[in-house]
Amino acid sequence: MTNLVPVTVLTGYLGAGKTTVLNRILSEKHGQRYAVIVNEFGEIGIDNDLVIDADEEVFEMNNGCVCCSVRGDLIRILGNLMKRKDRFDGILVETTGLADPGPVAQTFFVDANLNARTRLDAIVTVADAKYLLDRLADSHEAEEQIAFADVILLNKTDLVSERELATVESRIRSINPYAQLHHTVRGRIDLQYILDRRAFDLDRILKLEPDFLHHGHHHHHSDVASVALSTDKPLDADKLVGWLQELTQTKGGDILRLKGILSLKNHDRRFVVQGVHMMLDADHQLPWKPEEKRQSRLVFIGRKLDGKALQQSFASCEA
Amino acid sequence: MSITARSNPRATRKPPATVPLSEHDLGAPATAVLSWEHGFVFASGDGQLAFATTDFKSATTTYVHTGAILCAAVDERRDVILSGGDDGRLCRTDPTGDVTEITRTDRRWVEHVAVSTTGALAWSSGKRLNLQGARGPASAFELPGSVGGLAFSAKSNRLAAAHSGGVSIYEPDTQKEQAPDLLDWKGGYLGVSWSPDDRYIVTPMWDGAARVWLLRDGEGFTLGGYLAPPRSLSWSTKGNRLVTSGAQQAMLWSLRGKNALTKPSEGRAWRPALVSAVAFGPNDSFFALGYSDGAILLAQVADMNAILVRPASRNPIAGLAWSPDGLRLAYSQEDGRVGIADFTLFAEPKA
Repeated sequence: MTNLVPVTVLTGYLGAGKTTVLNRILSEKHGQRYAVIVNEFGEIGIDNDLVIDADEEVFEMNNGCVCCSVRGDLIRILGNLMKRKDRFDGILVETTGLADPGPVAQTFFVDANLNARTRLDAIVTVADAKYLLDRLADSHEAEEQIAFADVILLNKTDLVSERELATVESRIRSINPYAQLHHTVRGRIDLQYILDRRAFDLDRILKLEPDFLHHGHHHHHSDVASVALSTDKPLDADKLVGWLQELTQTKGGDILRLKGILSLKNHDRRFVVQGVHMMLDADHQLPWKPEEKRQSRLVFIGRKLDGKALQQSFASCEA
Repeated sequence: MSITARSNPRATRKPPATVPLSEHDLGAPATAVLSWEHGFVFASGDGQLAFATTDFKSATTTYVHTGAILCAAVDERRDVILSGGDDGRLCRTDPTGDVTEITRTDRRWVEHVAVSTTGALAWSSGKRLNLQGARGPASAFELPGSVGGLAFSAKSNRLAAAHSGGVSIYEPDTQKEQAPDLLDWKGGYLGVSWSPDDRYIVTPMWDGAARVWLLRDGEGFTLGGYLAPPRSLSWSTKGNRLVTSGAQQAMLWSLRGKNALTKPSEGRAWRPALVSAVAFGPNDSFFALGYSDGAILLAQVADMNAILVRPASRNPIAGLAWSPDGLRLAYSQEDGRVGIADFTLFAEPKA
């Protein structure tokens, strides 16, 4: 099926402005029809769209891996939504402020039924420019929400000074340099920047450059950070796949997101990979252009990542 | 019935090359197919119940819900349809098409409904379970997780409710304050089913397996070998065999003998597609298999030979239901195409 319904996950810590953004999406005259799955604490003020209450029911898979947890309620609700005759242009999932986005993303990797009808479009995180630093200091979930994001709306920028804004932005970039970051006031944002991003589509992963170069060391003792690996030498397909599987099996709990564009020996096409925790999705995509430098890049966002060790083991996959 | 030609002198000696099918398009995804006293009933994603006579010569439609019908069941007399929808309503529809609203919930969906042979009624919305004994009082329970399936035991009238983390068992006529019996095993469940003899409860699991519990002692084990969750499962009426969807071959489990629930029968992978729906015929000698490519096969238990009932048509078979005489098989496809296969020309004449 070609017309998969895009699902946008809207996350952010309590008070960051998720509901404001959600209400904005729903009230704009875009001619699109959205189903909205809200959490039990959501106070949505719109009633012309289909609004469904969810219970945020996370359960573990029976494969012994604690990081393999999924959102049972989402499987149920999305499955039932697809039974309706009237279809939606998109589905918005609002998580509670205390939610870790991992299980939501993983749900889309593992449920074939869901994959046949819907696609995870992007994880959009709303962050409060004034209080984000405090939240990052005391909340594991606030950190995960930034780390998982494809799009970050740094909201309430009118309430902070330029200097404070630079500090919080730099802090966000130390966790996640790859997300697209937008400054917003009262959740005001052109919807093209948050909807239909195709952030999880392998054929849309065309380059892996940090959106912002983070210079200098930061003083925070955050254990969530990003690591970028690269090599100009072609890689051996078997070695690479074996290494990635082993790595995600053993370190999957600490790897929040990964993306890579890789050059394999004897392959003319780019090998593109992306993943969440232990879940991996990979395929051969566009051919390398003749004039293009065939550089392999693999980026991770996660906890306790040892960049040096990763670069070394990555180098061992060279053909 | 066996798959041989009928030797009625008035009929041709040879059965037709293909099984006669009558089809109809609901115009919305088909969400349930049921057999009842008056033929077959199909439920849809736009709230309609379509009632068909077994020969499909006539069909009538009643719009019962304003959104998708998420669950439907026949009552103990096979005379009334109970249905729940994403409009938050639970309704009963009688053979004349009259609809009565039993309950209405606000911003919640009625996702599962079940009726016992004595007339007890259970339905659920998310984690909330409502139980109405045939004579006893109504009670409501908050389960540890969302309900994935409800089923009454035909033998003991007990209710099994599958929810994330396990299965809770209730006594509809006596259940008051006491906690239900819990069969616990972490994971998500997509349904629940009692073996006809009450020895087992089987629950399809979301991560592609089926959990089996022995009711005697609550011990459990997992049936594997699946490529997809075995959402559809069906027992032979004697309760000695279980067939499930979720693999390319028919997963036919024997419940007796040496290989009891350890190894499925050597079912053949007849088609390059997954089995998406199963239904044991009423006399235990054959079962129907619906596939993810829209094909339907009829397989004999004895020799595992199969005939093609309906050719592939891309859209998955979502549900199957037999008429009580085993001569007609109703089916539904996810996209809303429904039909009835007519086996009367293949049946042996009555002695």
